[in-house]
Amino acid sequence: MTNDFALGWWIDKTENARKRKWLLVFSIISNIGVLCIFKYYNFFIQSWADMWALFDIKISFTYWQMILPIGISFYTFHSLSYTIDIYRRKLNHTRDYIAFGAFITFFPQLVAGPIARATQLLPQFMKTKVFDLANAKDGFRQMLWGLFKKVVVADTLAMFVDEIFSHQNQMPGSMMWLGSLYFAIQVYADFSGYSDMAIGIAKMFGIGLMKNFSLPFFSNNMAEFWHKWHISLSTWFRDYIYFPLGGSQKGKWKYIFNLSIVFALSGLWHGPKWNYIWWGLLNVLYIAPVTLLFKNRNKEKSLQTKTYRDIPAMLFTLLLFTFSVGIFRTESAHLALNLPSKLFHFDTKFSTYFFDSIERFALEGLLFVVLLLFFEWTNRTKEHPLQGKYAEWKSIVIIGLILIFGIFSDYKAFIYFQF
Amino acid sequence: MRGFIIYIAKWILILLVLAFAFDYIYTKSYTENKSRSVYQIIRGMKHEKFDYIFLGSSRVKRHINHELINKQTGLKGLNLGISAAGPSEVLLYLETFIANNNSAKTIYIEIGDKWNQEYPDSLASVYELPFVADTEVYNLFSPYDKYISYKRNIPYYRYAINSTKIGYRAVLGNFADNNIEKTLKFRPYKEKLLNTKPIDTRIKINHNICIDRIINLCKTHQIHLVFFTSPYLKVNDDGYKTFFKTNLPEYHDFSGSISDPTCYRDALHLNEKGANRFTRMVVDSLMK
Repeated sequence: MTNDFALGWWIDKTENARKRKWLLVFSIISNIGVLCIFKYYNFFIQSWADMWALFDIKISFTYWQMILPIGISFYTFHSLSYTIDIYRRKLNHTRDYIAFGAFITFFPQLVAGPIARATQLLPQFMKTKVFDLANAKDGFRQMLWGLFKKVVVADTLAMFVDEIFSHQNQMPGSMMWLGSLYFAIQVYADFSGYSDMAIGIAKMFGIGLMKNFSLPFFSNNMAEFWHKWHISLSTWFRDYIYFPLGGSQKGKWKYIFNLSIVFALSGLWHGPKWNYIWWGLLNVLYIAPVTLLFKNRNKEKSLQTKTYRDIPAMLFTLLLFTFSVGIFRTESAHLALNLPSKLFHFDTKFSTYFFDSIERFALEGLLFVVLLLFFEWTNRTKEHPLQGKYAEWKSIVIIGLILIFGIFSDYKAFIYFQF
Repeated sequence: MRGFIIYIAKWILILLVLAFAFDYIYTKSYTENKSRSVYQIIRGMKHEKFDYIFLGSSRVKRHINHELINKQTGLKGLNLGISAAGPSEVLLYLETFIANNNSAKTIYIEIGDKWNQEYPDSLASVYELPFVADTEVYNLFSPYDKYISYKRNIPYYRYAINSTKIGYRAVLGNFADNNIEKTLKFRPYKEKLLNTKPIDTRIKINHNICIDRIINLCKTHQIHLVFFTSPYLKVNDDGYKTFFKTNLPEYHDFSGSISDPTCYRDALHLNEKGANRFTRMVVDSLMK
């Protein structure tokens, strides 16, 4: 934090373009370096050894046993956006160390985002705050909605997902589809639930955070989906990596290359595993044809204008996402490679006693999937479903549902805390 | 700011009202239903007379075919075993059974690797939490569970933290299901041998307070008390045999009586084939 605070000041004061560039490079290396050491060292060293093992060359190495600082991927990106934006002359450096510290470590979004931009968040810490009751009430209700998504939808589905994926070899294809669908909804409910809570709590403090999800399951194709999923990360990659690489302006092969880099890095950002990288690259296969053939961006429908006629396209998008996220969820690279053959060999037979409970209750999870999608669809024009007419009554219903259906017995941390 | 504090206070009040309402509905569903769990059955059973009762863990529930016993011997009896139950659950069940003026000529209690457990089992005892207002249940938990007063006094808390076991699924079941025979029906394991991991049978405590209380209770009510050990496929120590013979009033060891692996589901449990074979052995040795 102090490093970037000082470098921000230095870059801003420096007129020499070459020197500015080197200072920025130093900031990037120091931030990414720390991230790599904590998060990726073991992965890279293992992959390096695995590669040489293909040629029968054994490389001995030692794993580093380190405790990963919570939310390191998030605050590294917060901090980087500060120095990069100063370098780009989009932002002036701040002399207020407390405000800068609050920007980096603002507690609601510290561990799982949304990834804050210095240009958007930092100025808010320097203004005098006036308490806004209506805003605080809305923040409270948004936090409640996030809690519902987390403890009711995500944690219930997690029970089924954990059971299904931990017995992947014994599970029939139908169950793996169900498990993948549940995981798709789980990860959304978990992560967007956290984002809603973070945004809601920040609102109560009079701080506006960036929207992180915009109902991605109501997307007509995967390109649209990625404009609505983890917006703060995808726009971060877009602005700081994809655009500097040339974006889609330098021919289609360069476009595909740039897209692959962004998605591979996005996969890697989630953690040092090969299945994350494959998941990222699979998304390139989804998106590139859509953008190259249909130039979809200008034709994206707004949520307000979507109707039930869009449902088949939305379901197909959900199906594609379900397939990709199944690969993301598998417990090893080997199982990730096995998953497609399992999914396309559709089989409904259950094998052994292990799955008694799964057999009996797995379909129950669909109730929560439908409940979530119903709430979101019928409130798609609002920032969150607990707004507008009957907001208070809806909130009472949500509290009731949290009490009845919430999982409080098995503590399940937010999935994105690990990233 | 004052407005916001009032707003939050209003929501806390709503939360409390909902918690009270749900607590009332959930508890009512458990107390009104007399058949969905073994404890509900015992709690609702009044002035019944039996020739025998079996109590214990899954090594009773899944091993003793009481339907076969009743058929072969003409006796009237029940298998009241529940998964994971230890001596403290057995004590509670026995106390409730006697308190409701029920009687049994002989009580058979399975004892083995659960000897060391004086505290309520986290899996088995959860089904008694809806009745935590009952003195017997509260007394069972109070020496071991430091949160038991929260579970009794904070509305809905016990249901929320055990939602997967006594939450809405079980409550819906309470409203829908009312069949004692179905609950007590003998359901053996159907699987063939899955693993042979040895069972830890080392004796770690010399006295078990719950067992002492069970012995005294049976003495007071002149109930013939028999302890026995169900078959094990593999154990890490067999010192328990001598220990139980020396320390229990009447003890029968069946732990090595079945060595055929095809009779087992794992080292701790018999499957259907083994359970029926073992039941016949029990009838021949203890009930004829």
